Amino acid sequence: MNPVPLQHFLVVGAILFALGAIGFMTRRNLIIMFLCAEMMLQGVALNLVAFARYRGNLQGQSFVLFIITVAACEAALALALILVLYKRKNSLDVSLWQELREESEEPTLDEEPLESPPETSAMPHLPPAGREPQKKREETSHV
Amino acid sequence: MTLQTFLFYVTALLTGVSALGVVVTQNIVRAATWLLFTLAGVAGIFFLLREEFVGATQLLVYVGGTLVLVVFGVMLTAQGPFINMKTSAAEWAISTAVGLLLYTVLALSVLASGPLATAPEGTGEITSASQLGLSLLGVKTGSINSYLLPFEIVSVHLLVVLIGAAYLARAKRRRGAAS
Repeated sequence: MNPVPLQHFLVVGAILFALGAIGFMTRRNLIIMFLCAEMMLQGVALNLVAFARYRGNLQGQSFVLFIITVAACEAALALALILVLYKRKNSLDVSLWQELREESEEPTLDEEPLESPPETSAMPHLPPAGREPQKKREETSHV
Repeated sequence: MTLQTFLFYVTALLTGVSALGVVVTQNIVRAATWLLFTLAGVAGIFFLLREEFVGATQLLVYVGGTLVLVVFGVMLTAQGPFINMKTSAAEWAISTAVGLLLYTVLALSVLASGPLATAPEGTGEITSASQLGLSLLGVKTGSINSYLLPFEIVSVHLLVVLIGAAYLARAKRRRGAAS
């Protein structure tokens, strides 16, 4: 039998679940919230596998296989949705998506909105190479 | 302390530290990398529990599939101007307090439960990958249930979701761009 007691596996699962919950509540980046949700699923899966091993049955393992499959589905769908949302607003901030609420709900006030992104082009402006600059009249008589 | 115990504590420490890294880091790419270590650590704990099939599935599906998908998502969305989405200290304090309370409740209730750790005698060796496969295919052997119906439902679900995700994330032609 396993020399490590069952409780220690459950404590590791609890650590993963609690850290995932903290991250899900704290962060406002959509992708990081998604990663934290995955971490909570991992904590639950660890609990199920540990119980299945210590009880000596098959139900925990089958459950974890289904969890992994559903989590893969969730990842595919969530990242596709994140891409669509990012194309609309050019940001991954969750608080920009207040119009996804119910019609009767009041909008939640964002007390500390992010500052708007600086208007700088991502690429520096490069002139096309090999062209002669347009000459002005005054420049021609320097010599 | 045997080797297995030592390896368990090392893997658990690695998993916990990298999970903490996912929560506190500010960079999305770094968060994805920390999550890679977390998932690999959980797979290692599965191996230490002698659940090799589940551990291998975890490595294949999560580390090989889901995380690559996440990295693609990060790369596709990281091209805009860089905004640091920092969370205020008050929000950190509140959510850390709530999370620590949750963790304390979970850990205390786990550690207070004594008789859970005693497995029933003689049943510790009945699980194997072949029995798992037989039960997923609907063969009932002894006291093991058949998981044929959930298996079929989850496979159709995976197909539908992947088609939907590909439809959602396709490159749309702008209306009026052709004219």
